[in-house]
Amino acid sequence: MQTNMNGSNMKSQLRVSSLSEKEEAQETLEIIHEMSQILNCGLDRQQLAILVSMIENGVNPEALALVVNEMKTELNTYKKIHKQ
Amino acid sequence: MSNFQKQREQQFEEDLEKFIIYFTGFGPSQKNFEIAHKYASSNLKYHTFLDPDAHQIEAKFQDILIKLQVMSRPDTADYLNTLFQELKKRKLKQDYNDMPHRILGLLLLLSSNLIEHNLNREPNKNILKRKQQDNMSISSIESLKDWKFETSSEEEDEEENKQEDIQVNQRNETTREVQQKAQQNQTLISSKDQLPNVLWHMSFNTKKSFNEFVSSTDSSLQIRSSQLFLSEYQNKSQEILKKPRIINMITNEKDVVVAVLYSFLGLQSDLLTFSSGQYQLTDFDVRHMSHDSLLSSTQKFLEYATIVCHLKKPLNMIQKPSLLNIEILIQEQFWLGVRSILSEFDQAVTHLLEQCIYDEKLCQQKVDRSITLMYLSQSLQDWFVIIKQINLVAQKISTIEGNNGTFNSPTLTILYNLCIQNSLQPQHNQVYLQKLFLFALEPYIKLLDKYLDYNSTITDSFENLPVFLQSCSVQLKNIGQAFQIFQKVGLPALKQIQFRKNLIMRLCEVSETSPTKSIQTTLQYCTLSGGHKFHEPFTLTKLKKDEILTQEQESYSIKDIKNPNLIKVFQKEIVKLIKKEDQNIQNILLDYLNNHLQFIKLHKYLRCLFFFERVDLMQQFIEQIAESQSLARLRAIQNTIQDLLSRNFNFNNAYELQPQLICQQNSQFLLSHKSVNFKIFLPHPIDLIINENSLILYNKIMQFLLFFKNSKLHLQQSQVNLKKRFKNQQSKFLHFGNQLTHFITNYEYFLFISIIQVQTDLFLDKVNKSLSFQEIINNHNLYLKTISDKMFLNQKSESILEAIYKVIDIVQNYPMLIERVTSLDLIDQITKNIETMRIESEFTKMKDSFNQQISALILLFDHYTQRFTHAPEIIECILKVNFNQFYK
Repeated sequence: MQTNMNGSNMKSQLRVSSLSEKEEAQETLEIIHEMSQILNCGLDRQQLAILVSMIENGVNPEALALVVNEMKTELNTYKKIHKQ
Repeated sequence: MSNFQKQREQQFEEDLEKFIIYFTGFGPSQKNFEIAHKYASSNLKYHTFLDPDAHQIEAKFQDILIKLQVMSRPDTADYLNTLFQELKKRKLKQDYNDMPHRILGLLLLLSSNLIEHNLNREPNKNILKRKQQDNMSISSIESLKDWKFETSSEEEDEEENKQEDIQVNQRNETTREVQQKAQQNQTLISSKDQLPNVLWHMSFNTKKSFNEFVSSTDSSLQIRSSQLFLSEYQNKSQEILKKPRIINMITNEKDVVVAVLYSFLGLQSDLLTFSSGQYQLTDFDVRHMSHDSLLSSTQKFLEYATIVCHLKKPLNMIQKPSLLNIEILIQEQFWLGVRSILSEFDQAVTHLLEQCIYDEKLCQQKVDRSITLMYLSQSLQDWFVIIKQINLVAQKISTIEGNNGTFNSPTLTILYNLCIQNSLQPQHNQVYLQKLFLFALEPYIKLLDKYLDYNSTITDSFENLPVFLQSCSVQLKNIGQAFQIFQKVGLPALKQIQFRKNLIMRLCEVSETSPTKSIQTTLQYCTLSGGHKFHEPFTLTKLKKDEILTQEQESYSIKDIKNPNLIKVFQKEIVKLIKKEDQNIQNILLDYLNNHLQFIKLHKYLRCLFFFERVDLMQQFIEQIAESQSLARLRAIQNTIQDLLSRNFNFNNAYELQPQLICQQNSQFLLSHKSVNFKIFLPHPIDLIINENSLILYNKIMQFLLFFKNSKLHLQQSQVNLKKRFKNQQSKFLHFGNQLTHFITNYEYFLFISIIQVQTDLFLDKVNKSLSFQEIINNHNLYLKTISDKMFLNQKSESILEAIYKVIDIVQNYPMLIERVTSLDLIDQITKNIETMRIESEFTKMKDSFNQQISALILLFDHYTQRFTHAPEIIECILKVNFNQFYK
């Protein structure tokens, strides 16, 4: 009983802590998104979240930026061709 | 491969897939997805970039901020900086220490068109404050549900519920904020500053609106505040403290009264006492108020008064609504009347002052009483109208509530009580209302005093002032009438040519009879005869006969004059007017003379000008004659002036404020150097610097320079004429003229630049550095002495001056010779030959004389420089002046 109680307390505490972390994370993402808007990066929140996640996992920002730019240009070319 | 590495790899692959899906839109089944995946994977894993340098990124970021500031987007720059600082504080995955910089680095690399994008963009400054603005949350995307938070699926539902709770809380918070803002607005509306305007607006626009205001629940506070309008004896101070701040503005009736009286009259509060339910002033203590401040203070006064009136109203409205309405109306009228009266008075006085100033400039003499009075009469009439209006209003006040002085408005009560208490008899309240106004406008009264030669002060003989002004108006009225008659009768007569001729003749004759008499008789003729033509020059005797006749026949002019004795009065006035004061009549006469100069002898015209003491016109006339270069005319004028001056006419009044030219002696040219003297009357203390002795020196210097300049002018003109005559031919006359010009030009440089300019600069320097007034005087004396010494105008240098004069005499005679040369073509051949021979001989004499004089002068200069070694400018002058040496 006590262990269950303790477990549920722990869970609730974890929930609380995870909730607060989630909020904080969303705030952080919001800040990053706002910065990207000012710097005119042309990224939405989803894309930004992915990129931030990748950087947090150790991807080099310069390399990532290069890939993103290349993808954008290739995509534009692809779209132009398909329109025609 | 370790577990950590495997996890890392797995995470990377997942992220990469998501990356390609969201950036390209290709699905995993598509071929392009594989190509993109390969490309991205290889470039991200096997790149050659170095690890990001936090310092470099920071530096680049600062550059971006500066760029934004330069592009006049400082707010964006600040916001961006704030965001980054906030990002640094956030808890990010701490696998790397510089995570924020890495993210920033990525963003900087991906940024494009920064400035253009931000020019129209406004930063969202609430981002840092708000917690969750978007409906979209990361967890809502199915594929990203477990991103970053690593929460188990069991807790997802709970999380969503919690999110909803968070949103609800946020909504509640926002509503609370809105409510707070609304409350703030309410307090703002009812704040201290708004109160007068609210009341004014509501009360003066429509009574209906005021009633609504009174009856509304919000005004209950204001209504209660009216109870504060009680005297000190009732001790409502505790209630005052409990009331909101807006009402505490008017806490005490006495404060209101004090404030009102101070703003209106400048009365100090300590002069005001309150006893037995009434206000008393111990003494009038007036502060100077300009008309602008007076107007503004009256506006404040009126505003205060309305506050006082209307805050008191609600109580009384309950008791006696009908009476109060009437009272309000009267009060409104009174205060509006006061306002309009003050503005009218202000206009009248301003106009008066402008006219007085204009008079001073126009007459160029001392402020003449008669003209001032004439202008004053018009303005004073307005002023008396204003005083009458005040009296009417005062009468109205006195009739309210049976003269008991118990007004609902404390300000009116104050005024009324003041009137009663400070006057000897109750009926003099009108006088005291006037007194209040006049006290407030004391500066204007003082100016009037000055112009009216009224030496007493208001406190001494206030009651005499209106009487004096009234008597002035009577006096002025008489003159005004006479003037009008003259305008009606005299001017039409003057327009007739015959009359004008005779008039002018009489005016110009400075004969045994005095000028005033001649004017008088002429004007008698003008007025009495009613403008009949008179062909013969009349004498006094003849006029007398005519006078008798016209008096018997009752001529046209007499019809307008009721009092026969008035003729003499206005004739005297007319004489005065013509002689000194009325420029219009003078101008009419002089205009006529100017237009008919050819019919009038020059000397008579001069006499006329002299009689009117129009020295400026005399000067102009003489200059015109001088320009014509007619020696005969100049001689005639010289004789006239000599004659006029020798009769000792009194010029004193004309020269008090301006320097004038007085011709005193004969000389070759009317404006020759010895004939002209400056006479100037300077105000103290400048007369200590420029005293009589210094004026003598000034005149000496000025005379010499004038003589010199005159000679130069004539020489230049003659050279021009000569060049026209001998266009391309070489002429010995031209050559000699050039020699003379050379001398004159260089000597002029010596005088004006080397001596005067230099000495003036030195003198001004000394003046700026001088520490005492005596020093300035000494420096000024030294300045004049130095100039006169250097120009050889002192007694010791008489010989040099004589030599200079001899040279300049030649320069003066040369133009006359040239005139004869240029007029050779106009005469017949025989005379021409004779004249040519004469000119030739005179010319050679002139030339030889000039050369001799120049060499003598140079010798004298040399001698002078040997004696006085501190004269470098003379050495320079010697070098330049010697034509032959200069061009050797």
